[in-house]
Amino acid sequence: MILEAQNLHVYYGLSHVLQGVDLSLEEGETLCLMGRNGMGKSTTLKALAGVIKPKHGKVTLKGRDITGKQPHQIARAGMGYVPEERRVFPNLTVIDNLTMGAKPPAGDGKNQVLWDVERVFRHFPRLAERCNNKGANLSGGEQQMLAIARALMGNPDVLLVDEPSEGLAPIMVLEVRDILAEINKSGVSVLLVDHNLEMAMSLAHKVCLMGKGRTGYFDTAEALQKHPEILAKYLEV
Amino acid sequence: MNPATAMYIIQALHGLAYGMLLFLVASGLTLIFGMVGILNMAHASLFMLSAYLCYQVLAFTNSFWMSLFLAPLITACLGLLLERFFLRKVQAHGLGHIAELLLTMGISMVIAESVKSIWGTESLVISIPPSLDGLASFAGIHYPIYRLFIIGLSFCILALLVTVLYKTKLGKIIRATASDPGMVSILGINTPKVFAGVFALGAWMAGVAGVAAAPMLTVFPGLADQVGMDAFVVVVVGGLGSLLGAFVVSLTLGELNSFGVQFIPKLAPVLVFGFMAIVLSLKPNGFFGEGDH
Ligand SMILES: Nc1ncnc2c1ncn2[C@@H]1O[C@H](COP(=O)(O)OP(=O)(O)O)[C@@H](O)[C@H]1O
Ligand SMILES: [Mg+2]
Repeated sequence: MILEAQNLHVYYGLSHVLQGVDLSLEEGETLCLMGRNGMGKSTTLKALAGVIKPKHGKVTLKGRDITGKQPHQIARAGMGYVPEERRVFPNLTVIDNLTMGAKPPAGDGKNQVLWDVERVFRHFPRLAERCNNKGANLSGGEQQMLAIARALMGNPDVLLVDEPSEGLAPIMVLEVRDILAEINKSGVSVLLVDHNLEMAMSLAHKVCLMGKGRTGYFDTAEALQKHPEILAKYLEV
Repeated sequence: MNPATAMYIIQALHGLAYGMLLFLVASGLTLIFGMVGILNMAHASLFMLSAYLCYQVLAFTNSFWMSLFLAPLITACLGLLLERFFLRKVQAHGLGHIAELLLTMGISMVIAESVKSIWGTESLVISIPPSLDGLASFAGIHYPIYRLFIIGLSFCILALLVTVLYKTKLGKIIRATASDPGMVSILGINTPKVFAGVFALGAWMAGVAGVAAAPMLTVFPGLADQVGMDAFVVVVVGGLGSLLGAFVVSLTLGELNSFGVQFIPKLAPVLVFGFMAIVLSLKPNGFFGEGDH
């Protein structure tokens, strides 16, 4: 188990948004977290990345307790996080966005392919073309690519990606899917949140379904394929 | 050379010298504002303190170069301590910008009172170092070497600043932090350390300006208010957080001051504010402001 969350509880002021989230991600796998809008998927990723502090519960990354640590400490421990809003630096060029946070892997990196500018540009030819453009001048799809690529430059062991297909044209969704598949193949474990069922199911080894503030169903993607009624219960409005 | 032309050139150089000094103070102020979103009311006090430290180091070592090295360094260390033990505490409690403003205002008062009790309220005379004393002659103009030195030194620091900000990884981190500190920390960077570094850098530049200004301006406890007000105008008119804006407006104010004193001495003191009022009524976010704060 490379990433594990146990019984996470998160509050925004008085509202109890996460009321017991359990997750486990095996090394080398892609886990897809799905659920209707407002169930707490983004909040879960924020809690894992340390952007918000859980009130109860425990998060371990590669066996190390990272609960309550600062975001930069969690990143240094091997976590990459691509937030829903992408948050590309608008005033920096593509290349500066990529290099400003570049770092070597947290561990010995022996199971990983090393990500550097050259490798990123090979996998994201669109970014190579726009290398000297400011972040603010990129299209939505390009910003999503840049946000993912920027996280890879930190050579994470685990990558959290929040709604990468949101607002993208179908052709870009396919591109993003292929890239996430390659990233996973390169040795990075991926925790993906996405509404695009087709993309999610094609990438996921395991699926976790989330109800209001709680994780419910958890199984392999194949097992879930046989039970469309479960998927319907969690996803249909 | 035609004496009128010579006079114009001399006034322009005077304006440039003051404008560049102003830029050294204002650039730190605007950088800190761009990153942390606070207008540091104690910034000009650090400038003044460094001028006094210059006097003190001179008294001990009799070397202007030693003062130029030590006083800004001490000022930067003090800036670092202020950030670490006061500003960061207030920020951590999320008390908002008013609390930060009050805090920095309080610090500026403490510095002003300390300066008075240590060095007195009289103006101190700091003489120009012998190696930089005298006049340089070129194209029939005689101009004080010391002011040329100030102009040259300031341009060196400007070049250093631009190189750091645009050519180094640290500079990229600083610029990224100015637009989205939360995202920078998600990428594994300890942003409070970046803030502290920028704060110290700003204090150091104000400190260099303080030493450079000491032999040129009068060193007295009101120095901070005098230069602080101009620096404040520069930051607001240039656009809060904009380095380019700070540069352009610093030079404009320098020239406005210099030619104002020459041609309309009665109006010179209000020229700066007239300029600010006109610019802000046309461009409320300043020349290069993005208006996202
Ligand atoms: N900053 C916030 N302050 C208060 N409530 C929030 C905040 N962010 C999200 N919420 C609430 O928390 C719940 C979960 O939100 P979120 O994690 O974004 O859900 P999801 O990503 O599954 O759509 C929602 O009810 C949302 O309204
Ligand atoms: Mg969400």
